[in-house]
Formats: sequence, C-alpha cells, structure tokens
Amino acid sequence: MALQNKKKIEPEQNWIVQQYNRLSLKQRRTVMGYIFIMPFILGFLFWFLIPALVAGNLTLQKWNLISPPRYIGFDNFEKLLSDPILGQSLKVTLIFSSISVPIGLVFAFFLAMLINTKVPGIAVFRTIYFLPSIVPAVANAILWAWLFNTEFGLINFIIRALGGPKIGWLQDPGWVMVAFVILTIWGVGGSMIIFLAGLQGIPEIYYEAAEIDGAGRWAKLRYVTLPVMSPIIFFNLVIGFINSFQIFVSALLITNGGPQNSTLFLVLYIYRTAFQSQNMGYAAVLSWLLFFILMILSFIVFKYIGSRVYYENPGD
Amino acid sequence: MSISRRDFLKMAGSSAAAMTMLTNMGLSPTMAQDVVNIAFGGWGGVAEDEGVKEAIAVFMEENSGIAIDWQHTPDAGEYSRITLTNIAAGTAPDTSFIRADDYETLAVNGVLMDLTDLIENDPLLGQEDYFIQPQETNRSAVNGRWYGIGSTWVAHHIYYNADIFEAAGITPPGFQDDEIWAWDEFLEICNELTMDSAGRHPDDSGFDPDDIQQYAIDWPMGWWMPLTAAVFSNDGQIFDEDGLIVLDSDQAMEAMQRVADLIFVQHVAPRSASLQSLGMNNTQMIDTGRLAMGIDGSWALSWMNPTELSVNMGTGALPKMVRPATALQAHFHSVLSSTEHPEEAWEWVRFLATPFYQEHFSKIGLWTPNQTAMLTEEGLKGWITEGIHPDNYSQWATDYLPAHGVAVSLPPGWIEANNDYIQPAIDAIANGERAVDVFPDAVANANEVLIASKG
Amino acid sequence: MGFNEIDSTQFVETSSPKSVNDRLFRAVNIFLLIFFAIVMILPFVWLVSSSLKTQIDIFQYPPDFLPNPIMPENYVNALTYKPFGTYFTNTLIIAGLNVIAVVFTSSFCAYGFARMRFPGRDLWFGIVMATLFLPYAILLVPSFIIFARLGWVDTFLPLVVPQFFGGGAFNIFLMRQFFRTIPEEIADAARIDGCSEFGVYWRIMMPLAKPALITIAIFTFLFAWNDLIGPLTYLRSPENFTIAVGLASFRSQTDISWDLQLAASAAVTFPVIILFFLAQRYFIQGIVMTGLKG
Repeated sequence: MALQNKKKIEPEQNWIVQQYNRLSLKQRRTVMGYIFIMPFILGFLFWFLIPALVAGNLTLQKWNLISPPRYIGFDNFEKLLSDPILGQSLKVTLIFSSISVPIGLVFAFFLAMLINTKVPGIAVFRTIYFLPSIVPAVANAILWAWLFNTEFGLINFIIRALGGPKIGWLQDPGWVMVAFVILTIWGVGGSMIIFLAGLQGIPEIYYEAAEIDGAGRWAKLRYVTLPVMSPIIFFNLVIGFINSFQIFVSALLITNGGPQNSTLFLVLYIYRTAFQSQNMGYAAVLSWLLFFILMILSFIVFKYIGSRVYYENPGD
Repeated sequence: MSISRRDFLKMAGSSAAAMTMLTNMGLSPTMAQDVVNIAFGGWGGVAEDEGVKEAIAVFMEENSGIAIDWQHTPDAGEYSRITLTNIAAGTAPDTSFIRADDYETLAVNGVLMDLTDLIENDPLLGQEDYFIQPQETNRSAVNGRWYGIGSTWVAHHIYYNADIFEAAGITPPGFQDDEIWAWDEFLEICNELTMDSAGRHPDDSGFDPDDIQQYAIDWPMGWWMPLTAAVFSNDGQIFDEDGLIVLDSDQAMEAMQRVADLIFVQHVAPRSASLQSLGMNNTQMIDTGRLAMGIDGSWALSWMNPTELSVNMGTGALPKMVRPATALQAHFHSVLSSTEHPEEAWEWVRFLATPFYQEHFSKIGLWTPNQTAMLTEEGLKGWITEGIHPDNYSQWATDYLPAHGVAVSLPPGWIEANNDYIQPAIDAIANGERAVDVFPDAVANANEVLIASKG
Repeated sequence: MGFNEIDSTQFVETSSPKSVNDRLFRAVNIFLLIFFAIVMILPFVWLVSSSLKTQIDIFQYPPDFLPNPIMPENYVNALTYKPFGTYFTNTLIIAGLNVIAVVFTSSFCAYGFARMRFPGRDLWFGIVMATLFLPYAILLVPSFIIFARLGWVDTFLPLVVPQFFGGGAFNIFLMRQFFRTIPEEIADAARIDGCSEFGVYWRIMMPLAKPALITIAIFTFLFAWNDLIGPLTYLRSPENFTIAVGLASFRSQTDISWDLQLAASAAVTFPVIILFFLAQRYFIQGIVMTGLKG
C-alpha cells in the first residue's frame, strides 16, 4: 500500500523533516499553514508593507522628488484640514460613487438576466455586453471624449435629432458627472458576468418549489433569485464601490479633472499632487486618507448590509 | 613555502623595473576609447519622433564618439512624471526636453546644469543677436543664468478659410501692422461671417443661436496660452515683477471677458470644442466650411496647411485690443546636472540649437525660428516650404513675432496654482460665468500657492 | 454532495413557454436583449467605422457611419508606425508570465487560507482583503524607487515578479471561495492514504479547480494586456514597450493622428474579444464554481 512510502522515516533524514516530526499536530498544522501562505506574506512585506512604510514616513516630510526630502512634522496633516480642493475632490468622488455604484449594479444584474436566456447565438450577445469592459484605457478615453463632444459628438447628434438641446457634456460641471456615470455603466461587463455565473448556479429545484407554491415571475425573482444571489450582489457591491473610489485614468485622459475641478476624483488629485504639484509628502497623506476612508466605508457596508446577506452554506 | 627575504626583494625589484620599461615603451595596457552614451528624453507625436531620430542620425555621423539614446514618451504630461520619478531614483537621462512649466522649478533646485558660460563662449551661440531678443533672455534666464536653450518659438495666430472670406467679400487678416484688425472691426467682421441655417447674422432679428451653420471664430479656452494672448493685447500681464499673478487686473479681466463674450454675447464662436488634454482642435470645422477663422498655435500649421486642407487657407495675426500681441512659449533643451558626461551632453544640446535641427521642424510647419540667422532672406529659404507656409508666413516670423511676441516665463508653483485655481476659473468663464465674479478669488488663492512654493 | 457540470445554457423559465403571457415575456426579453446590444456596441462600431476613415472624414458632421473612402491602410500604417509586432510579443510574454504566476501562487496561498486551520489565519486573510483598498497608483513612487535600486528599471521584472507572491488579493479571494466548496471528505480520504498536504493541494484540489483557474487566468490576462501605468513607469526602451504604451504614442500635447489612433485602438481590442468569445463558457463556469454564493 502507499502507506509505506510516506510514513517511513530514515534516521539520517533531512534535519528539517526531523524537526517537523517532533512537533505536535497543532504545531505541524501551523507550520504547514504558514508555508502555504508564505508567498503572500513575503509579497506583502516587499511590495506593500515596505512601500507603505515609506509612504508613511513621507507624510512627515516635504519632498518634491528633485531635491532631498525635509522633515516638516505635521504640516501636511494641517493642510489636510484646510484644503478646499480636497473638499471638492472628496465631494465629487462621493457623489460619483453613490450614483454610479447602485445604478451600475442594477444595470449589471438586469443585463445578466437578459443574457441568461436560451437564445441561439447568446454567446455573441454575451461578448457584446462584456466588450466595453475590455477596451483599453486610452482608446476608451478618446472614444468617449469624442462621443460627448458638444459640437459634433454622436450623442449630441442623436439628442438634437430628437429635438433636444446641445448639451455641454464635458464643459458643464453639472453634466460632466452624468457623462462619467454613463461611461462607467457602459463598462459593467465584469460584474455582469459574475452575476450571470451566480444566476446559473441557482439550483432548478428552488424555482420548481416556488412554482409549486404558486409563485409567478415577480415572486420567483423576489423570493428565490434575489436572496440566493445576495452574497454575489454583496460581493459586487463592495468591489464596485472600491473600484468607483479609484477612478482615475478616464478622468485624467478625458477631462483632466475639469471643468472647474468637477471631475477631480480623489486618486486623480493624489496623482496630481504627487507629480504635478510635486508635493510627495502631502500626496502620501492623501493616500492614507483614501485608504482609511475605504476601510471605514467597507466596515459600515459589511456591518449593515452584510448582515442581511443570506448564505446557503454558512461557512466557518 | 617561504621565500627568503632577499629573493623576494629581488623579484619585486625586477618586476618593478620591467613595468617601468614597458610603460616607457608605451606597451602597458591602456583603456580603449569607448563610445559615450548620452540619453536624451523627450515627448511628441509622430512628426516630432521622426524629426528627432533624423537629427540623431546626422549628429552621430559627425560625432562618432557619441551615441544618442532617444527615450520617447508620447505625452508631455506623462513624460514630466516619468522624468521626476527617474530623477528621484537616480536614473535620469543626461539631456532632455524640459517643459516651460517645469523649467524654473528644476533650475532653482539644481537639477539642470548651468549653461551660461558654455553658451557665452561658444563661437556660434554666443553671438549677441543669435537669438531673437529680448524674448529669449526673458524666458531663459533664471536669476541671470541660463539652464537650457529654448527649442523654438510657438505662438497663437489666426488660421482662416480663404474661400469663405472671398465669398463674403471681406479682406482676411495679415501680419503687417495695417492688416491687423482693431477689436471693434474684428467684431463687425465676425458678425458678417456668422450665419444660422436661414442665413441670418447675429444682429438680424430672428437669429437662432442654437442653429448656427457657420461660425466666424473659435478662440480656444482649454488652457491659458491663447487666452493670455488677449490679456497682453489689452495691456495686461500674467505676472507682475514679483512673480505674482495679476490676471485679476481690470485690463486682464476685460480682455478675457471679451473672448468669452464671443460665445455667449455676440454668438460668433462655438462652445469651446477644443479639448486640449486630448489634442482635439478646430481643423475640421475650418475644412468643412463651418468655421471661418480658428485660433491655434503656430505648430498647427503642420496639419492646417494648404496641402492638408481641402479648402484654400491663410494665416493672419490676432486682432488687437490696445496693441497687437501674442504669447510666446516653447520647451527647452537642457543638460541635467546628474550627467556623467557633461562635455558630450553639451555637444548634443548645442547641436539642437544650430540651424539644422530647427530648420527641419520649421519646414514642416511645426516650429517658428528663435534664431535670427533663419530670418534673413537666405535663412528663410532654408525652411519656408511651398504648400506648407502661406505666402505671408515669413512676415509672421520676421516682423510680427519679434515685435509683438511676449515671452512667458512660469514661476515655480505655477503648475499647481494653474491646476487648482486658474484653469477652473477659465473653465467657468468658458461656461458662461463672468470673469469679474471668478477671477479675483481664483487669483488670490493661486498667489498663495505661488508664495508657498517660494519657501 | 458532489457538483455537476453546469450547462451554461440553463435558463430561468422552468417550463417551455406555452401561454401567451410566456410568449410575450420571451419576446420582450429578446427585444431588450437586442436593443441593449445595439446600445452597448454602438460606440465600438463607431470606433471601427471611424478607424477606416481619412483624418478629415472622421470629423464629418452630421456623423456618418459609412467610411467613404474606406481606408484599411490605416490599420497597416498604425501597426507599423510603431513596432506593434514587438509590442504584441512583449505584452504576450508579460501577460503569460503573469497568468502562470497567478494561477499557481494564488491557488497555493488560497489553499492555505481555505483548507488549513492555524492561528493568525483570519488575521492574515483580513490583511489580504485590506490590500484591495490601496489604489495601484499610490504605491507607485516608493515601489519605483525600490525597483530602481534593484536595477530592474527597463526590464519586465517589476511587472512580473510581484505576481509570484500570491498574485493579488482578488485572485486569492476567488480561489479561497472555490476551495471552500470542496467537501472535506475528499481531502481526508487522501490524507488517510498518506498524502502530504502538498499532495492534497497538487493532486486533488488543483485538477478540480480547473474552471476557477481558467477564470482567474483570463482576468489576469486581460488586466496585464490593458495595463498602462505599470509599463509606462518601468519601461524605457522602445523595444520593451507593450501594446498599451504603443497605443498612447499617437497623441501628444499638440498633435494627434486620429486615423491611426483609432485603428490601433480597434486592432488592439480584437484579440481579447476573440479570446473572450472562445473562452466564455469556461470563464462563466469557473465563476459558478467558486461558489460565490456561500
């Protein structure tokens, strides 16, 4: 039997194995556990912890990248409290997040249900719906800057053909937020696919049982689909939320934070502070601020919405 | 095993003697002459990329001991970030394009090598009127010293659709003093050239501002440069002698308001269709007959020229308010202090300031010379190209620019002040707000940033 | 309870549509499907149609979807202006290495989190999740300095090596969710047979995990394919550039070759479209199997 090969230990064996075999079961489990997650731990140390500590150290310094850094104590933190541009940045980021995430989620779910049908060529439809999320950043920016062009963009053309006014999509601080929400929703392919997978994982039995109980379409949705999908909805909510706070490339390429700083999302502001205003110290403080905001908001989401999530197999 | 002391000394002595002999005979090993690598960083689109490569080929032919390694990044903003990161990490290139926005900051922080003496002692570059003055010194000198050589001059002027002018029977603008329009004259002409789909002009009753078929003028407000040309023309300034922003002076605000009014009051200009961050421009509007005149930088000639456009086109100066003026700018070529090969780096930067390099880009319409040698009759022949430069373009270079071009020099902290306060104020008036409502606060805030940057 | 292969064409309705109501619903369903497909694909169609136009033609107003004249040369010119063949190879290498790194190390770490009990496990998993909150761009400068000191600038190393250390929180999370759906009994049976923990991981879990692995492989590939900030920061020499960087080379502050830019953008998207189209069955299956439900 295979027994012999694994259990027989030669006395002259590897010192490591000897030591290992001396440990209690619990200790062995601990060692094995850490061996498995060691790659992450090492990676975390090198690529996160050390840079993060450097960033932490930076918060107390003034550094413009081209001359040696200087310690200035808590000046950067003081600036945090009196910076009107930061206030603007937080405002637009929060507004964007609170609008685009729910709408995006609903739209993604809706699309997922649409493509969860048995129609010939459904694979083509799924590809079409997923496509926008894989268009490269530069191409996406150009495409949308173009579509939203006030004078000859496609969108204004359609609107005016229907008798509407010429909207200054990327020039009016009010409309530009709508523009960004639209282009973000266009790219919900990723969460849509995850929803689709979720929908397909719902066992048939549940629906059959509901039908037996006399449930119609709406009832099925409400009492079967949504509850069973709630962990996935929750997952997409958290991920969508984290992502919305990190919107950066499109704002940089399309409007560069304008007009009138109305698309100066937080990450863009941090980037600008670091590389254009050349104020690394303050940028570091802003980064930590973002980190804490996300942690706190996630905690709130987990606590108040997470408790409503229905788990089929409540795990450990 | 041990050697006796005597033997050891004998051996040492004889080998020393041998070495000395060999060295005197010149047979001792010496280092072979290596090729020096100079890294040159910069940005630019297709045309600039090609141009630099050509210049490198020519330079390397003449200077076999130097190899230029061209590090190209398409976008200037990205390039700025990458250069900064490289400087921080100690991997900066030897020579580089330097944006005018970054120039002073880098200079005062010791990043750029002081080139003053090298330039003054150079037989060619050191001549008193090699460059167009006083503009060149105005932009290049930081506390009296030069830290880079300006690559060229570029500035805004009018590009017009000649066919529209002919059909309307109006004389287009030019570069001679008598061909430059006064502001009121300009407004009248714009009114003539703007029509809605029923052929009505803005001052006709029943004119529909939402249905304009042909606009007279597009004056971009996507960034400060074209707008400040108007400020200069109205006898205003961007900065005062202390380096603080004075765009809230009456003349400055009046000038900017007049430009914004072209859109909202006179209805002769479209909503700013230009989005500078993506390089979108008004070429197509001119080419399709929807725009009579577009204001753009002189660099736009490289694509808005008789060969590329399907309509007849021409160029002329901006209209004047108090006096003719336009804002001058361009990037610098500098040597970075961190270079290990200052002499070779200087050779390369120097080459870039000689006519060959400037001619190449001037020929394609991208650049206007800052070297006086290129403005003589002989010099002009070297770069004025038929099919690119309209007939009157040499006047732009020889007469208009030296007389009416105002060099702009940007202080440290400008980038932040502009991003946070000035550009948003410009956005606001481009969206219909009044300059007097937004600029005083914006300028005050911006100046706080500038003052903080001096510390 | 074992798990079955999910038929990816399962649909919500449990009975074949017989009544008028059902037929109506289905019709509306299909109508909406097509309507939104048009809406979603319109921008892309516009992109492709513009990429076949001349520079001046692109700016026609009112906009016209049919290029006249048609310029397929735009594609040839765009892809030869800069050596896109080289960029393609480079991107493929980077993305490929990323996929290998992620598939193996994230499953390795996830196995530890999912199947083993040891003190500190939940703490470390919390740290894994916390790393999701730190934006990519923030660590850019400190990371750059570290890599510069190591001498790794202008190589692929900064873009590949970090992936060998767990491959990212998102992937570890997905794999962990997946591993938790596998019944303990299977692992126990293997252990009784004398399998070491590594053996259970490699011989039992990994084969079962194929769909999930394909999923994270595809996500990783897509991310690496489109990544712009990483290559732009760490790569200096043109022969090392990736596709995303090449795509950015058509525009500068003052000029932009629209026809080439649009053609290149469209061309770069085609391979990933094809990849997704072919792999979607596995892709979706994989996510199903990560049992995100619970």
